[in-house]
Amino acid sequence: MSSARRNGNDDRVFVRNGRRPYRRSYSVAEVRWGAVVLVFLALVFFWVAWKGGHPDPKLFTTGIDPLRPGSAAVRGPLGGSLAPAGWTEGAVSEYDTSNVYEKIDGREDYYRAYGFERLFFLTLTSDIDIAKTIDIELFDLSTAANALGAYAGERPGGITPEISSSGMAHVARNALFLTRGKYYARVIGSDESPQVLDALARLRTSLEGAIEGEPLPWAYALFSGRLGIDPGKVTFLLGNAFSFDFARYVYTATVDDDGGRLFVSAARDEDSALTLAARFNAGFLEYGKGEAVRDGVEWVRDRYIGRLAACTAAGPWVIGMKGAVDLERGAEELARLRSAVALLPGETHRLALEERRADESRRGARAEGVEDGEGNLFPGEGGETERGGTDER
Amino acid sequence: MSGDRKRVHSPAGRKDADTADAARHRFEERRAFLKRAGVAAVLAAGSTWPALAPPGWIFSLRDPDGKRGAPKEKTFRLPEGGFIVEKPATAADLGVARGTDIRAMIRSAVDGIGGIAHYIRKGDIVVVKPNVAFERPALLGATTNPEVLAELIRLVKEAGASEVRVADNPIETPENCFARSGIREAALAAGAKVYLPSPADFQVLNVPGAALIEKWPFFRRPFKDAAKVIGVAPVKDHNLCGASMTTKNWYGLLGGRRNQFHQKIDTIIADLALMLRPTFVLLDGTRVLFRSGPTGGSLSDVRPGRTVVAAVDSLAADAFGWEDLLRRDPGRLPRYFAETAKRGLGNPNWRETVIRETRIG
Repeated sequence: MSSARRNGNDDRVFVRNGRRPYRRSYSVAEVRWGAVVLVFLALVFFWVAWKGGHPDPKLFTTGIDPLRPGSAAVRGPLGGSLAPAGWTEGAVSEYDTSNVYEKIDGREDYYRAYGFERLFFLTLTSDIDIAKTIDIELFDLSTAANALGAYAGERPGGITPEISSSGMAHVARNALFLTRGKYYARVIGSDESPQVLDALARLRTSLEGAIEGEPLPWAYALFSGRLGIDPGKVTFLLGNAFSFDFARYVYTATVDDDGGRLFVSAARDEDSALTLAARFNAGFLEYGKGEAVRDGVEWVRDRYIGRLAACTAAGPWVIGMKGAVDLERGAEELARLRSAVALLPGETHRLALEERRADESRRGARAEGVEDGEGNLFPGEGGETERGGTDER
Repeated sequence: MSGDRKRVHSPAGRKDADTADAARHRFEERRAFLKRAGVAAVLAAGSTWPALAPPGWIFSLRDPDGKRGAPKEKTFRLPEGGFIVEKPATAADLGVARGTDIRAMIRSAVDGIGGIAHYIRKGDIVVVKPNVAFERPALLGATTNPEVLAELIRLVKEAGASEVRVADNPIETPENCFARSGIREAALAAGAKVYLPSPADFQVLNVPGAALIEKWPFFRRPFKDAAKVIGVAPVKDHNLCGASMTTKNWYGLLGGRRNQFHQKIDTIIADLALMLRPTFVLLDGTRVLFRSGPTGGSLSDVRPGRTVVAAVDSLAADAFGWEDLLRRDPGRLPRYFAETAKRGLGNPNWRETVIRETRIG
């Protein structure tokens, strides 16, 4: 036995008998605080248990009542009920870029290429025959140019759309297609019975009343207003025009039955337009060889399809012709376009740039412009940085 | 020892004894301390070893990327060699039937590749996979023609199949897709069972050699005990891969976030050909969605094809569909044809194959 133990002087370094508490009693204050902690823990336990048994109902709601027509919150531009007499609406469902594949997997990339934002979907069912249905697919494509571009891309050749000041529309057998401002609607009947076609006609009126329109983009004034080309033959290509990755925001207009197309795009200034036109020409030369120079413009014959193409700058505009069957006709069309562009007021150019910038900004494409290595919001035009200046916009 | 006694009885000796006792006590305490500290250190090291030892070391439980701790999904494989039944040597590679009598066309097309009795045995459980991807009426050509499906089911049952299961995992709501396409009603009327997918029906399928879906959720339930598998797919334009026909049709058996595969659509289609080797396929060219696919919508995008094609080689059937039914340039076949052929999973040169074509009605 050590002297420390013999003397009753407790060794506080080690507790010799681990099963015995070091202290045999606790103070009243300690007991009280212990009780308080235990009560608190018990309360936490019961609170967790109660919350588990009574979850917040909002956790289980999707915002859509499947038994009723969509609420105003999810009807978006559809407004009030669209169902014509004799038809009943189902619920409205809404899709955005994160889940649109759940509705149109395999096709969604087409609409993404035209600035897809949201899709509103609604089915109408006939009260007389439930096999007769009409699906309304309303795409928000962020700009009128995109909506018209997507519409033109899906419109079969040979169909002439009906044109209003704020959009286009046509009926193809069982289906109605229309644009209204930034919206593109596909209204698809289950068949082409009189009952369905009658409902389509009434739905067109309802949709045109419900969705606010906006004037057609500037290029329609150029191609249709000044050159007299059918507006239905004007197309907008948001990106990858003619399979050139630098070619964006290009409007085209078909000018002949052979598919020859004039095109125009707004560059930020004359220098940029020259740079961009040179890139178009270089692109054409990758697929063919120069055949002639007319009015200072080199025409390139495509070695695969045998057609001619040319591009040049006209002030801050880039203009061109693609798919011309013969040089004379192509040069004549390009000269017409050059003259028409020369008469465009400066305000049109400003509008074109604004339209483009707004879309780039919204889509986060500014970063893509940087990534193209040119520090340039307008890929393909070159940039002030290339010419040693600033790239301020 | 006497000297010790002396020291005990003298004050100085007692003091010396106390000093020695204290020294001995300190020595004992130090030894006990070191012993216990050693034990504690060993225990501490032992207990932290599993967590701190590098992965792969003995007793190591270290899991820096969380993969070791992730739940291990049970995988399965489809039968080795798939569900293939070699066609008779004298049979054609493509059985093509044209006309308007769907019942006769299907029988004639299948007869062309050796007849249904060659492929289906009495008592077989047969899975039939139509394309029910979208909630569209059949007239619009985005889904398999229900009449074609029904006649195929009847033919298989006549051959002695004990059970025919119709299954697909549509893109849109399964109940709505099966109802509006007319597939559900046609399948039930013809005597088949309809399998709509639910989350519990999927299990991870192991496809050795697949580039993208080596392990991927697969709609397994209808395949339990199945002996034969038949695909029946429409002929459709496809926005991403050019055309969707019998090979792309197997996409409808995948679960999970399969849309991500659209980034590599040609590779996934080649993987699908590897994933499922069917007994035979039927290309439903009664309607052709030649534009605005794969969803379609307008009857203007659909033309009557009045053709069905039976084949063991789905790639050959698809190549036929591309040129003959979609009327597209055979020199510009979508890339998945080459990718699939490169893996030895089909022959896209359908003109090199033996074709038996009949016209009915």
